[in-house]
Amino acid sequence: MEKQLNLFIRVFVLALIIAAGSLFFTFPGKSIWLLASVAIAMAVALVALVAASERVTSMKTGLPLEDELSRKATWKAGYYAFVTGLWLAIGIMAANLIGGEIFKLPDIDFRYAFEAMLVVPGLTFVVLAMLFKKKGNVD
Amino acid sequence: MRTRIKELRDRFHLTQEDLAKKVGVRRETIVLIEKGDYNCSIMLAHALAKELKTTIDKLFIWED
Repeated sequence: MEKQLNLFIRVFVLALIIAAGSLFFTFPGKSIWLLASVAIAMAVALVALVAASERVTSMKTGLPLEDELSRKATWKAGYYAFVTGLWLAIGIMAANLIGGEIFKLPDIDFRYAFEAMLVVPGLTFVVLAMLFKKKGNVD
Repeated sequence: MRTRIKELRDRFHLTQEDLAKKVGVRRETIVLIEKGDYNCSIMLAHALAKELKTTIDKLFIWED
């Protein structure tokens, strides 16, 4: 079970990085980024709605909103999000260097890189925090 | 690791929610501890044992 979860996390993070990288090179125009931003905003709103409903339920029943498991899950998800952000930054730098020097591709616009650097680790954090809280996999 | 939380909860007619309230954690945490999916801290183990009127070594059963 733990092995499957670890595999899922790795595949999920890798998929996020590849998806973000693919968007850079496949659709450099602004339209796809507007679409992507709307999709991301909707995903974030959905997650916030689920989290809010869970909180309301907890408050009604008098149970705490946070405990040791949720704190550990948050820290672990934060660690994964941080590492994802680092790898994404290295990937963007490498893509600029290799793409520019060898394949003569234009540099990645810093706005897109900045957006990806915020969104990819952010989504990683939100999804993994929820997953860890649900599965109890925090060691 | 197995636990006897469910057995003792039933003995004292406590629901997962009741026990969660008594030891100050979320209900989901109790569910995961009961299933053996989450290894709780020694502090929480102590609180659970106290509420269920037993000791930690009798509440949690380690299997090699």
